[in-house]
Amino acid sequence: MASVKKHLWASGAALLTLGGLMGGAVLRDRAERGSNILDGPPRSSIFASLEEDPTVPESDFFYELTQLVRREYVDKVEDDQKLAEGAIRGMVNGLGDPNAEFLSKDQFAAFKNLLAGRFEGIGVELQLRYDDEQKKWLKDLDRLKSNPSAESPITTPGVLIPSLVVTAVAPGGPADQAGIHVGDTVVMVEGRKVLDSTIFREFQAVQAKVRKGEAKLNDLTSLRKRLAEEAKDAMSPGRARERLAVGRQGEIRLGWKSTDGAKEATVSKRVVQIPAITSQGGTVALKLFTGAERALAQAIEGRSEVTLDLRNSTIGDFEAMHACLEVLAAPGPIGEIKVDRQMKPKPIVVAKGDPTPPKIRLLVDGSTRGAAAIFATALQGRGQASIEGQLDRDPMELRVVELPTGAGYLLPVGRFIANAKQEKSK
Amino acid sequence: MKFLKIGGLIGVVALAFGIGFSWRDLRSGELPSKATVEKLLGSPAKRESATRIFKTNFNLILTNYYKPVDPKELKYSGMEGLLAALGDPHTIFLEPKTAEEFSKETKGENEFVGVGARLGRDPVGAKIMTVFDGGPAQRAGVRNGDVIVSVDGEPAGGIPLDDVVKKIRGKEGTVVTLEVMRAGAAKTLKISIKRGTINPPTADGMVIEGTRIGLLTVQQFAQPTTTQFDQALAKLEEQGIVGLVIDVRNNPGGLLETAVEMLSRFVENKVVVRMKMKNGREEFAKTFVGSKRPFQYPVVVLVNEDSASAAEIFAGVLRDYKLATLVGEHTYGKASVQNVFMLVDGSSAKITIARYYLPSNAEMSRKVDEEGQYVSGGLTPDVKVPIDVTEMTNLGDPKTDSQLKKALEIIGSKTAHRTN
Repeated sequence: MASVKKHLWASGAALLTLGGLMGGAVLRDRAERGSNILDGPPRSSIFASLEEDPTVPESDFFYELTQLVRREYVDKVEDDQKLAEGAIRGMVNGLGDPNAEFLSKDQFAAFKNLLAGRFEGIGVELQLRYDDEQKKWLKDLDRLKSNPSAESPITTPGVLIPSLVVTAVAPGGPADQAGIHVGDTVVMVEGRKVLDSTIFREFQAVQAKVRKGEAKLNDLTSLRKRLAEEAKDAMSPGRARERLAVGRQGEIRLGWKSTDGAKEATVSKRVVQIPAITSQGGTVALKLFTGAERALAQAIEGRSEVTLDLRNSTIGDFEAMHACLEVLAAPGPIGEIKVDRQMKPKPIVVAKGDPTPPKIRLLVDGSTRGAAAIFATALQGRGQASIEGQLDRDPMELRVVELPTGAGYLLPVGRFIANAKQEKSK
Repeated sequence: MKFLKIGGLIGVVALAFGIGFSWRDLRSGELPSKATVEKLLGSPAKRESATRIFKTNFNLILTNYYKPVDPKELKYSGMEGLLAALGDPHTIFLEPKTAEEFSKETKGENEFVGVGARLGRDPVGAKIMTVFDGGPAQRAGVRNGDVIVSVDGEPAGGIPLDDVVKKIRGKEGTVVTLEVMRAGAAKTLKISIKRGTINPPTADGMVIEGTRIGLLTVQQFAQPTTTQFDQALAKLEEQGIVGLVIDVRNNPGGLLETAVEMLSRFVENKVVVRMKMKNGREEFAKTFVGSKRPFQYPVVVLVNEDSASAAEIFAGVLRDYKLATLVGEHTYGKASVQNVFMLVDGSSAKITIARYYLPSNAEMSRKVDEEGQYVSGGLTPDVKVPIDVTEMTNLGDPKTDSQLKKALEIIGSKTAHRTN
């Protein structure tokens, strides 16, 4: 018995030793090829060569291009993650979708704060917005992609510059105190004009007239001069938004256009925390901030009827929205996320919910957007809530993705369609 | 006892692992390098995770975005972003189609179908600035200075120049009829021209009306440019010019070798640029010996903000060796050298591999503010002349081209001084 055990020991030891030798050699191979155990080495090279199979998996393409940059670029490349972040920024922006948005580390941190109801900067949420004419041009351009011989509807790219619109104001925050309202357009920041499309549109219109012989070339010349003059010291709307929405201290001078005219003020930046729930009388104003479900559960506890005010709610955490539905919707399917591709829509289901849900009256308007719009559509669609006010149709659900670098992006994943069956049965 | 056995076993296995790992070096009597060991111990993890970050998000966007995405397009916009992350505007990704155009351009192959003439603006139509040698327009008898008043019967006056050009271009082999006004002719002439494939010269010359000064326009520094420059210069000298204006305005540059060849006509065995490569390595580009020409007349070089790269080197070197006066506006301020790496699917990566310095060592790399607006950099001209380019401006016509007008004045004063 003892000798068998000894044998086992000896052969086990010999095997392990051999395994150690081989393991060491294999790992050495991998170390020298520049890959670790988890990611295999690229199967093909991106460099042009006649023998190579021209299909290179996308991630290998990334790997090889990173290596090329490390080897050839004039400055030392320290941080590969920065390159990955850049590539993702490129992919997100490359979608050409106003809802798909890449956010730098600072912007993403401010965005996450915003989702939790913490406003930085001057206490506003700002969106780059296209008007109807610009939306039409964008659609036309999209169609042009498949028909390169067609003539572009725009002759001056500047006509596609979006305007910078205030979509939410933190009550009691610096912007609120300065008299800035939802719907106002920011036109000046730090003494610099915020670039907009007005003069470019004028230019394009005159260009068209000259072509038809209805205007003189000279008109174009004087307009071109004005255009160059205006663009010279202007700030892009994206930059202006960052200046206003990021930062916890310091003063900033800005100008904005309101329904009652142009205004200017110097505003101090600070952090303003907005609660998810404010109750006034029988009405509960709900903002779908991160963690809103807990406050909502408290506010409606024991009530059989509730009025929810969803106005002035453009910022919303989609996870919080789903959690809030669990708080006050009856269990069962509520709708689906529909995509414009050959895939089945993804059903949205309230798992546990409230078996005896309260009767809900919703107050909505044009400022009920994103997560809040989905929330309202879902409750109305299954007949649990009545709605007062006009609601955006088929609101878009956005996925919020955080990267290891601290940056992140928003990806539109589909339009929410309320459960049709329920609607019919109603 | 048992502890000892297990401990001993672990030790032996670890040793075996070590020997296995180091075998390659041990055979040659060395220990593995520190870098190799670091790679084993995890420094690749960070780099690999960059690939993983990319892979994860590539797939996430591909499968979750609500509209269909072409994986190839997504990949390309990713690669564009990757290179943009370096913060160098000249390190860029070129998709297959763009890469092909780029390669054609540096070879001087800008083929298109037309009549073979460069047009300028004119109040009543379009002025023929240059008729290309050997092109259909030249064969049909069109001359420099002719003004096109109608194209196929449609008036050419009062419409943008680009639209006139569009009307003149068309399918190869078809005929276009131009009605032109010619100085000294009582009536307009109708000239029919068969459209053909045109490869416009990258350098061409003409004597400016009413002067004995040559204007040599260099559009870019491509492979055939040196030969075209030599031919144009020889032709101008045959006509007995007393001064030369070389126009590199709006010249985006091109090949450094071409600039070196052209500078070798002016100066022998002199440094053109000092290039600082990766890791502090330096290289010099020098002009050749044996192709210098005697320039027995003053030379002015016209520059503007769109003169970049090889154009700036050409102008800057002539100035640094006191061979020419620079007139116009400050130049772009490129100051770096790129290499184009062809990739397997026909796309390319254009990557900055070196920075360069002119003989005078002046720092000229372009600085911009966060909005991308010019702050400093480029060559500062000896004589700064602003120009207001309007719908009525014709570069190359001293009546509307203030920079050329100034260049002529400078040459005029120098030649007057000489003859005195």
